[in-house]
Formats: sequence, C-alpha cells, structure tokens
Amino acid sequence: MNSERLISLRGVTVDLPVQETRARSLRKAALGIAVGGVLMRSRNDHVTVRALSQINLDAHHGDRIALVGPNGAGKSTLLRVLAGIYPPTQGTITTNGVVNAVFDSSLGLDMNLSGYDNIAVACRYRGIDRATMEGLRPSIVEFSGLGGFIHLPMRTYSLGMMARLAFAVTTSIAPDILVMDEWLATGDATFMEQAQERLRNLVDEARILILATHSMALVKSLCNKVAVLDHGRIAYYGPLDQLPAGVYPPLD
Amino acid sequence: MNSPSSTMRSRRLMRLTPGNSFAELFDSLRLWRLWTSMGFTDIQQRYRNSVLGPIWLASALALTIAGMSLLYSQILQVPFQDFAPYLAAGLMIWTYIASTATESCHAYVTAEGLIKSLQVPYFVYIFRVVARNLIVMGHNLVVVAIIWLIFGKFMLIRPVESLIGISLLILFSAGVSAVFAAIGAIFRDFYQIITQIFQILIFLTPVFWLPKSVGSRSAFLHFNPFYYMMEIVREPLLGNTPSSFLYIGAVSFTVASLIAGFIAYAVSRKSIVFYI
Repeated sequence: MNSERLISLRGVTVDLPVQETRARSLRKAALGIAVGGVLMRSRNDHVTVRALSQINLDAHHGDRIALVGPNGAGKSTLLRVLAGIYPPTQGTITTNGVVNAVFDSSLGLDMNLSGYDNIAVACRYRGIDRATMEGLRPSIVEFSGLGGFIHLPMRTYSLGMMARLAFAVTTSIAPDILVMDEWLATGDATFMEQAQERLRNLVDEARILILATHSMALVKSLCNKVAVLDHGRIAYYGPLDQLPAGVYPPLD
Repeated sequence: MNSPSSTMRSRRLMRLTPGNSFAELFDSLRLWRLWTSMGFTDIQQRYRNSVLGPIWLASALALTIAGMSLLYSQILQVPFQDFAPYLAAGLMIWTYIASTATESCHAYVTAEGLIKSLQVPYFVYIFRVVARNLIVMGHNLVVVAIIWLIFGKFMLIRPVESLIGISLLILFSAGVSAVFAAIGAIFRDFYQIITQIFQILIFLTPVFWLPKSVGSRSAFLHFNPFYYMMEIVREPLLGNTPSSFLYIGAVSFTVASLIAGFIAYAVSRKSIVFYI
C-alpha cells in the first residue's frame, strides 16, 4: 500500500462574497470614485460568508472519505476547493494526481444531444482525446444500462437516468481522485448496488474517493474515513470506526 | 504503486497554484477541439428548430448590404459597383468585431454551470466566443464573396495580406475579449455600456463612409483602434496593400490588447468563480 499523500489542505479558508446587484454595478464603483476612493472600494462593503474556516486535511491512496454534516456546513464548498474550482481565500491546497469531480448528474452537458453524443462532450470537457473516448464509450454505454435510451436526447431522461450516465462516464475516466456530491443517491436500488461495487473497485486501484452524502448507509458501505463538517470547520476527521459518539449523531 | 489503468488518464486541466495564467493559456490552446466545438454547438443552439438556420445570418447581411449600398453610393457619390463590395467587406468585419466584443461581456456569466463544475481553464470560454464569431464570419463571407463575384472584385483579393490581416484581427479581438469577459463578469452593467458604445462606434469607424471623406489626419481615424483593424483586413480583400502606417497601428493595438487581456485574466482569475 502506497501511503503517498495525494491531497493536502493546510489552513484553507474560503470566503464567499454575497452578491448583491447594487454592489456590482458600475454606478456604485463610480460613486466610490466621486468620494475619493479607488475603483474597487465598494468591495470593502461586501458581506462575505465564511464557508470554510482553517481546514486541514490529508488524503492518501486508498482513502474513501465521506464528507458529512448538516446542510450549509460547507460540504459542497470543500468539494469545490478539492476540485480546484474555488481557490482558497487563505491557505494552500496541494493535489497530486488527476481530480475528477461531479457536482450534479447533468455534467454540464447539452440536453439536446443524445446520451451517446454527450459522452463525447463530457470527455472533451475533461481533456480526453477522441481515440481514448471511442475506446471507453462502449463500456460507458453498457454500464449506464440505458439501452436504447442512449440515442435519445438527454432532455428526455429522468434524474435517475442522468445519474446513471454521469456515474458511468465519471468512473470510466479513472481519475486519481474522484470527488462526488450528493446526486448519486438518485439512482434506483439495482444501480446503487452496481455503483457501490464499482466505486469499491476504483478505490482498490489505489485511488481516492471523496463523497459528500447524507446517507449513512452509503457511508458505512463505501467509506473508511469520515470528515464531519460543522459551520465550515472540521469537527472530526479520521477512521469511520473511531468516530467519537456525539460528533455526528446520525452515525449512531 | 500505480495500477495499469491509471496510465490512461485525462490531462490535468486546471493549475491550482496562483500566477499560472501562462500555463492556463497554453492548456487552453491545446484544448482547441473543445472551444471550437463549443462555438459550433452555440450556433446550432441559436438556430435550433429554425428552417433556414445560420442562413438567416447571411441573409440579414445581404439585405443590409443591398439597401445601404443603394443609399450610400448616392450620398457619397461613389459608383454602386465599387461601394457594394466595400460595404460588404466592412460590415462583415465590423459584425465580427462588435459581436465578439459585446458577447465577451457574458463569456463567463453564460458559462456559469461549466465554470462551477469543471476544471477547465477560463481562456477556453474566451476562445469559445472568438471561435463562435469566426464561424459566423465564415457564413457571412459566403455572402460577401458572392457580392465580390457579381461586381468582379473576386480576382483582386490578396490572399497573403488578407490572412495576415485576419490573423491580427483575431489576436486583437481575443485580447479585447479577455478584458471584457473579466469586467463583464464582475460589473453586470458593463454589457449594456459596451453594447451602446459599439452602436456609436460603427458610425465613427469607416464602415458606411470612406476614410478619405474625413481627411487622413482625422482623430476619428487615428485614435480609433478599430480603424486600423478594419483597414488591414478590408484593404487586401479589396485588392489594395495597406500602408505601413496602418500595419504599425494595427500591430501596436494588437500587442496592447493581448497584454491587457492577459493582465485582466491573471488579475480576475481567482475572483471570477465567486462573481458569476
């Protein structure tokens, strides 16, 4: 087992500015000039929300980390930091390897194209060349279990069908670090079974899985570590079986 | 210990270390398939379920040229067969410049879903706007070419100088796009301002009139970057070689726009995701 550190977060803080249309208009910036300020002065009046505060987190090969916590605890923000989408306001993040993140099952795809064509689009967004994509596509189609629906426009799909396709694409790309938000749970029982099987295999191939979820069943069956977030801070991070009582009640 | 399948991997697209805008630029250029296909998809979307589709683009241009040429060739006392090809080229180039500039203000805003879920360097969203408008210009070129054929100007086109001019124009507009995309994402009023400015600029730039009508020393020409960009493309298309004065102006404005675009990108890069 290689215990090389693949993800390392040090003192990561993320402040999300609260958007208010007036603050962003040039009128306000211009008024700022008129009273002698600098152009970006209106920024100082911005209300910000501290979504994450001083997060330290290390992940190694083979870690399957469940990110749990109440709504608004910062789970999605942390996933976006891990995926390189939100730059930290303070602190540093080091990742070693390819990160693939899926935040919702639509994958940012074109709903007017068929699922089949969208596999190509999704791969293109992830920097995968055409030949590799063509090699992957049959197995993606098969794993999605969509059958003939794969050739229908994606707008005809149900949420569960999209989740199937998104999951098949994401896990076929085989990233070193797989980051997934909530959406997985939209699949049906059969699919959840297959999906968990596949995720276990992925992690057996020495990769990292980070999964935000509210489903304790999913946490227990998939993950070996748990990070409990509360108000943007990590309340506990460590092995699942050593989670102290009372940190995150639903686990009991 | 790497598993065999980890050799098959996607490229790492986003650099997490700050100050890596250069690396993001090169990554984005390598992703040319992505932004060209995004450009094509944008046009398909725009004309989905439309019978004529992108032909509407070309027909709008054809109608404008026909009507305006009739009127302006009389106002300016220029022969119709000379003015129609001149106006056709000018309108085609101006349409590209103006729509690239105005659409760039929304380059990041319209890509919100992608920016918030994918690790793609943002230059891709800028190049997508440029690519989309080049595709539109390609459609318009067909109309313009037909007009040149009708009036016998087609054989006059200087291919090498035209290509140099178009390349400079593309670089220039990419720089402008990067600046406008950054400002447009943070200040939502910016799009309205730019739209109005370009509505005026079309009259201040020689599109409907000839540069010689205002005299060669006019400030309308000398301080207007779009005059240089217009002339270095239009002149070779009409069979003339642009003067070195025009080239010096065009190259200077292109370099300035690229530098400004890069700086705007590097400065705004980390904030954009929070503003869209």
